[in-house]
Amino acid sequence: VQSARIRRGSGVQFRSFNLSNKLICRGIIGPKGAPPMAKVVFTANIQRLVPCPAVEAAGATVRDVLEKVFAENPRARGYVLDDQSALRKHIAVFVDGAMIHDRVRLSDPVGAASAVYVFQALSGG
Amino acid sequence: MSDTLLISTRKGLFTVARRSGEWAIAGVDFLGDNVTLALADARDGARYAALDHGHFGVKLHRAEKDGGWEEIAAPAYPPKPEGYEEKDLWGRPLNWSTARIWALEAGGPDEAGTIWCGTLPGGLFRSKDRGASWEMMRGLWDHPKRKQWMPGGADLPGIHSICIDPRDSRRVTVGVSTGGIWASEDGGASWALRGEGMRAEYVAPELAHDPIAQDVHRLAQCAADPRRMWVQHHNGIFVSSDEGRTFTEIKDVEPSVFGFPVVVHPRQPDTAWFVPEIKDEKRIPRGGKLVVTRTRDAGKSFDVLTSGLPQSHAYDIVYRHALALDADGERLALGSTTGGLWVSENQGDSFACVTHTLPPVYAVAFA
Repeated sequence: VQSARIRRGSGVQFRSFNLSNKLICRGIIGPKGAPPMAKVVFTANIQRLVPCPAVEAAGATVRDVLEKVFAENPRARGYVLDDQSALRKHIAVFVDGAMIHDRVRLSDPVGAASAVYVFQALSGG
Repeated sequence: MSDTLLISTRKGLFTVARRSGEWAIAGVDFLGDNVTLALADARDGARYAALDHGHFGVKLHRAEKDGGWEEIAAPAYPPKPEGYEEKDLWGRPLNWSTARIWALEAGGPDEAGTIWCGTLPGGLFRSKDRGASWEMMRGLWDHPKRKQWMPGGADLPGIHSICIDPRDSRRVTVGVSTGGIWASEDGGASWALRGEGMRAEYVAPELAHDPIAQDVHRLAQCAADPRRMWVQHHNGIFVSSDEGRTFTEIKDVEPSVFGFPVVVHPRQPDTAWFVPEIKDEKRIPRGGKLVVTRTRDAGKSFDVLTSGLPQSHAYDIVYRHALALDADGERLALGSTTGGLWVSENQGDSFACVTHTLPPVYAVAFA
């Protein structure tokens, strides 16, 4: 079991998380000194249903990044995306503090050091 | 006779068991979560539970006999073809994605591992490996008339009833709200609309007798005489003696012909039970009295069963999957939207209240 911390660009520190699922980590978090990758953090509310530890993943778009995460954590996919691979109706994704615009193709750009947050939307109650 | 009930509720799946002659809650799984439907497969003892996690979608879980729950595949719609457009009733794009699991049934005794699943927005799925994977019945989904299905019990059309013919497992009949009754005789490959004789009060007169306009609330088939089918419809009760091809309306039933569930005795095709509410625009029991109605003569007459059911200020609704009959046709159970659960061990002549403090009950099944 590893422990890690992440920081948003604003410098606000978020709580630590356990990387207890080593399978998820393998191949996503790069070795020391590797180019920075986007950090992906999932809502705490999803964790009791399917563990989704925060991870780092490379990709130019939200789609790229999430597909890398789901490749390592396939059960999580259906909790975030619907049958057409669009964002579920009441899931919200933020990239560097802004809610994404393209909920179908997930084409919003992600930077090398971006923070991607996958939350449940208030619209879902 | 079955001594166990699975109660699907807004806040968990409750197991209710008979011990020393008394029915009581014996356990709860998925506490706090929305369990919309459960299936107990008599062939292998497995149990299936459909969950709706809201933000996170619809999921399916399975427990082996005496085992714990594990998540299995939920039925998923195929990719919508590029450029293909399909709109819902309000002109919005129809999402090809499972919005609710609305029917779960075991395949025939000769089809070990086969499970059928009906969903909103109208897809019918079959698994041949106990829910490890699902195949959509494209013959039904791609049928041109499927696009005429309308929202009924929800904002999307859906399949709530699946009847597997005990004589031939390839013969499958489904009930759609709203879209009538559809039957396949080749294991789900091809489908035909049935249900002549039903009548709809909520459409223009020109459409009233169109089989596809019929809002079937629940469809039940007699195990011993599969020609006999019963329908609790949005505005009436209908009975068929030819596997749903034609129906006869049963009129003048007291206290009402409106309701959601129907169950039929497994060996007596003329015996069926209903739970009436006043009417579609007044969905409460008449006079605040919760009753079950029972016919033993194919609808010529009905008994109004009240013993043990609340007869004052009861506003319980019993949803379409929340009335259950055991495989022997003796034990009857019903659960309500206001958290009541009642069991009868004499075909409804008298009921015992198990509890009236459950979360809203969506489905009741004998295990």
